[in-house]
This record gives sequence, C-alpha cells and structure tokens, in this order.
Amino acid sequence: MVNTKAIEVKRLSADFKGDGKDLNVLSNINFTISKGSFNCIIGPSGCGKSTLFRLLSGLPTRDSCKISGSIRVLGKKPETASRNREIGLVLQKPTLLEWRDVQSNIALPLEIMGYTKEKQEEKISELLNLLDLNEYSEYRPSELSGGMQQKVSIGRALAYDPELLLMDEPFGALDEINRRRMNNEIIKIWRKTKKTILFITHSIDEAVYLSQKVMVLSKKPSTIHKTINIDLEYPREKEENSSKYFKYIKEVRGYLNEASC
Amino acid sequence: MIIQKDLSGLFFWFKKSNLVKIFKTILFLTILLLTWELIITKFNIPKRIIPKPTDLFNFLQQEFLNSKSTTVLTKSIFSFKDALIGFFLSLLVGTGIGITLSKSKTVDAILFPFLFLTQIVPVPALAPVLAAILGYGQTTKIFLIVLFTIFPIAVIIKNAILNIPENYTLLLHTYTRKRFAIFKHLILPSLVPPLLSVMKIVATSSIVATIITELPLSVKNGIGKDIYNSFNNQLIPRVWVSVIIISIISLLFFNCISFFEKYITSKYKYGQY
Repeated sequence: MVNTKAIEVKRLSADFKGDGKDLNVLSNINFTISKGSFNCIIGPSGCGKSTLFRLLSGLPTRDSCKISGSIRVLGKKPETASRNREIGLVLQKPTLLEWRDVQSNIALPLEIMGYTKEKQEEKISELLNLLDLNEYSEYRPSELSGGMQQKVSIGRALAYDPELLLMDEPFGALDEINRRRMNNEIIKIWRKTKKTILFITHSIDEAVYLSQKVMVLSKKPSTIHKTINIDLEYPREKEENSSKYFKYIKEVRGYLNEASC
Repeated sequence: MIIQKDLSGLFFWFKKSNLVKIFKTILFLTILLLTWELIITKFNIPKRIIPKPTDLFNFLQQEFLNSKSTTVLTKSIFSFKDALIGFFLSLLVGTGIGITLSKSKTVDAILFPFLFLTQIVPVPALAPVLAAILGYGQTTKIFLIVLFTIFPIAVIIKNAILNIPENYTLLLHTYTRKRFAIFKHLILPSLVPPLLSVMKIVATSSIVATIITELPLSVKNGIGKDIYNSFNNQLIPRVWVSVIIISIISLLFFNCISFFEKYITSKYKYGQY
C-alpha cells in the first residue's frame, strides 16, 4: 500500500523538567498531513509551536525534555527522515552564511552532502530559475532585502529535493506587502514542486491565504484545538476579497480566541 | 572600456588623498624634529638624558656607513623574525586552545585558570625557570613569546564560537551529523573576523614580548639585549635609534595586518549581515 501520509502524529506529549516544577508543553497532539498538501499550524505565542517544530524536524531536543507518543514522518522516525534528507527546514531567520553569495548559500547542503560539481551547478541553476533569483546569484546576504534572504533560504531547503518542507514563521519579520509577495511566491513554488509543506505562523490571514488545512493550537499545554479545511481555489489573489475568505478568517480567529483563553 | 575613478590595488598608495596624508605626516615630523633640536640646544640638556635629532642622525651615519659589524637594523630584523615565529605559533596554538575550550565546559573550567596564569606571571620572572628546563636558546624565547600572547587569542576564539547563533548549528545538523563538516563549513569561516582582529593585538604584543624575553635570556643577536647593553654603556643615541626602528617595524607589521583584514572583510562582506 502506498503511504499517502507525510506526517502522522499520535498522542504526542512533551514535558520539560525544570527545577522543581515540570512544564507540560505539548499534550495529546494528534494530526495527520497527507502528501503534497499545504498545511498551517497557528497558535498563540509561546504555545509550544517551536517545540513541535523541533520534534517534527528530528532535531535534538534539550536533555530535560520528556516525550511520549509517536511521530511518523514519511513513515519513519523524524531522525531517520532527517538523516535520509527528506526534510527541508526554513527557519524564522534566514540563517544564511554571510561569507557566501546567493548561489553558494544554496549549494551549502549539496556541498556538505558530497554532490559532484556538475550536479551542484545543475541544481543551482534550476533553483535560481524557480525562485527568480538569477540576477542575484552573486549577491551576498547583506546586499539582499529580508524577503529575498528568506527566498534564498527556501532555495537552500529545496536544494537536496526533500519530500517535506517545514517552515517556522519564515515571513514573521516581513512587512505586510512583502509578506504577501512571499506568500504568492511560496504558493507558486509549492504548485511547481508538489512538496508537502507544514507552515507555522501566527498570522491568521497568512494561514488562510496559504493553506488547505489550518490547525489551531491552544495555549500551554498545547493540543490541537480545531482543524479547519480551507476550500478555496489557488492562486488566491482573486479569492482574497470574497465573502468566503472572510468567513474563514472569522472562523480561525474565533477558534484562536477560544484557544488562547 | 571601464575607467576606474579611484585607483585601487597596487596603486592604493598613489591615491591623491594618501599623498596629501603622507605630505602632512612628513611636515609634522619635520616640525617635531626641529623643535626638539631647538629645545635641547637652548636648554643645554646633556646627551645622556635626551639626545638631539642630529645626534641620532650622526649615530645612524656611523652605524650604516662606517661600521662593518652587525647594526641595530640587522639586530631588529633578527628579533622581528623570532617575533614572527612566535606570532604564528601563538595564533595556531591559541586558536586550538580556544576551540577546545568552547567544546566542553569541564575542559574550560580546568584549563582556564592555567591560561589566566600566563597573564599574571611576569615574563622576566618566568624566563629563568623555563631556561633551566629548555635551555637558553631560541626554543625558550619562542615559548615565552607564545605564553605572553596566547591569552587574548584563546579567549576571543572561544567566545566567537560560543556566540554562533544556535539556529546555524541546528540547520547544519539537518544536513550532516559529521562534526568535521560543521566545523569546516560553519565554525572555521565564522572565526575569520575575530581572528583578524586578534591578529592586530598580537602583532604588537609579540614584538614587545620578544624584546622583553631577550633580556633575561641574554639573546646575543637580539635588539632587546642590545638596547639594554647600549644603555649600560651610555650609548644613548643607539638606544633611541633602536627604539625608533623597532617601533617602525611594529607599525609596518600592524599596518600590513590591517590592510589584509580590510581586504578579506570587504571581499567576503564580513560583518555586514
């Protein structure tokens, strides 16, 4: 049977052992994400979104963190999926290496993973085309705007062709106009590459604009408060002012309000 | 054809603004030397206290035109050579220690007090002890220079590594679990700017250390010992000229490194992101 689930989380809980008091960060989280879909997780700040992100990406958590339940990413443990290079990460900050120009920043994972020079060049030109970054290939990160930097970091995450893209509030630092521009870009990229995307955000508008499924997290100990399926056509520039779009926004806001008090 | 407005590269020194700068410096030096000469002659200050510029020039003339033995310049260059060896060795070992300290808190706690000790024990006091073990040769001298200069290197490198934001290490962790790959692609390149700035500190202090160590170790060909001997023999102009020569060497060395630093940081756009 073909596994169509990209992520499957069952009864996931995470506790941090502090001095004297335990902090229950995640409690009984259940969700599945199907392959090739665009999903958002939205929640009040400090609700454990980042902990969830870390667990899903297979990064080491702090020693004091106790985890129960199961996480399956592409049918494997997150660590294995990460080791198999099936997960691409886009972090809150672009995290580019300042001494490398755009193309060699994109090439960084390829270099580390030991791709041949020709393979690297082929991949870079493909990605520069996809991201419309051709004329900037020799710019350094310091010469690019925030949105552009994040675009480069998306390119870097796509470089080794991972099945799943995990994005942790990548456009959180951008202004409204640039954020919308980047939202359109990411939708374009998603539709071209058919990757599975899990996008963490704290903007209601962004969540509704981007995704097919929005999961609302409650405040600590967090759990999935509600899941909303967004049934709107892509690209969503036209839908943005429709009453249906506002209805979704209202719905998500309502759940988010419920979840944070 | 592109015509560059500002000449750069090899023609760096021929830029108009630089010529003006050089002219101003020469003018300043001339005025300084003249007033110096006039004040000494006017108040009849004896040579053994402060020599006149003419005394210094007389000495220089004797030294470079008449004498066949080793001059203060060759001795300075001899000392500078040792300072250079100490400088590079110290950079190498200091960086190594800095990296080791950043890796483990336990190692840091054990090693750091010893490292700190190198800063509080005076070199002249330590020299005889080390000489008894390693002998009165070049080895001891280089060892002392390294000891004198290593502290800031190790501390700055350690802090630079610890200050690399966590998300960078996490990100590279998703590409590889090999520590060496992370070291090569992330840590080593991030060490370039702090290494360049600490090089400037150590450039001058390695020369100072060389001169100080020569005295207790009685290094024959060094300028440090020569300064001391000249002073004891009342050859005051020789002392002054030696000090000036060694200062000029330090300054040139420092400027070379500054130039190198500017070149690297502008080429790789360090420190702007």
